[in-house]
Amino acid sequence: MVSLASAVQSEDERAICEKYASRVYAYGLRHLRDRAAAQDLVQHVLLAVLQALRAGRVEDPSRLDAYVLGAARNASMDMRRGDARRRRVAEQSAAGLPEGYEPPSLEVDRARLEGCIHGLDARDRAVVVATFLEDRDADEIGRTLNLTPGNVRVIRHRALARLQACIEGAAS
Amino acid sequence: MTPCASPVPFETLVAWWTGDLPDDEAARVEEHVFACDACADASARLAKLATGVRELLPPIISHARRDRLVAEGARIRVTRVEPGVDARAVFGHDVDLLVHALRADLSRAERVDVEIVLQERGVSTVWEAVPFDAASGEVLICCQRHFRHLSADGPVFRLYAVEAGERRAVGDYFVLHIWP
Repeated sequence: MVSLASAVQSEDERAICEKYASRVYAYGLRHLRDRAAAQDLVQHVLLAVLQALRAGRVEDPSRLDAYVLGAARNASMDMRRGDARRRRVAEQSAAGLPEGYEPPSLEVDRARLEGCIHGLDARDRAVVVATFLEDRDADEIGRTLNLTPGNVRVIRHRALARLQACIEGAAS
Repeated sequence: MTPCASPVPFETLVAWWTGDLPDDEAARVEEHVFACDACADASARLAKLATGVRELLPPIISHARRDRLVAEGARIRVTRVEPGVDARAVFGHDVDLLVHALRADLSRAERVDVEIVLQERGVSTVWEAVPFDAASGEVLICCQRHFRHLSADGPVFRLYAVEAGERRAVGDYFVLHIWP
């Protein structure tokens, strides 16, 4: 039989997972640049945080945000160093997360995204493609398109804002 | 969701994502995002978009990308296409992607643009500064199966090269697509 205390603990832990999963996932996508690795990071970090809370190792629970970020930074550095043990660590982590926890997906409708990219101006599209598909920085892109790096950055964030509006407008 | 008193501007989130922020500023952005519901949501939405774009296969690819696709097991059929000479390519069930190698003298090109013209629909899309290989004189068009709905026969690919700051038309390329 599940005790009231453990049920409350499980509910609290699920809330913590729900709050931080997408933050850690976005952090992982940015730093690890791979969905599977970012999912592994989420599982690893969430379990480490829950274990620390259960063991009373989080000195100031009111600053849990900073604790989670620190755990994400450390784990992503470890994962970049040792990809081979990553999957094993993640599999161990998945088993320790609260029941009902759903990992974040952050999947985009690809067909819609392709349509939205086609709808951009040629210059906006060139900057977005060079940035995300060719991994070129603002200096390189600027040299190719005869723009200053500052111009490239402005075009880039405006183009992304348009893409986001296009995608999310379609979704709503 | 708790509103944010000092939200991270979208352009700063983009700069964080693209690695354009100095380390100390990037660390401050991360600390704020982890502590703020509204900015965490904005960060996750940007991550969703940026990752989605990063995972797309664009219609014009580099030779390095083609090689990576082959290494990952993609079955690719390459068709060499000369300007003004109609080519044909069969998108059979035994291939995952068609790659059309548009051939031209690009030895002096600083930049190459491709205009994809869908004649039946009367629309065209310009892709500026696409990847090209000056040594082999090739631009690689990557045709995916779901492009079939865009054009029954196939679009016209119009190539432009920028040389010494001047943009010149290189030629039109047509590949008749056969979908068994």
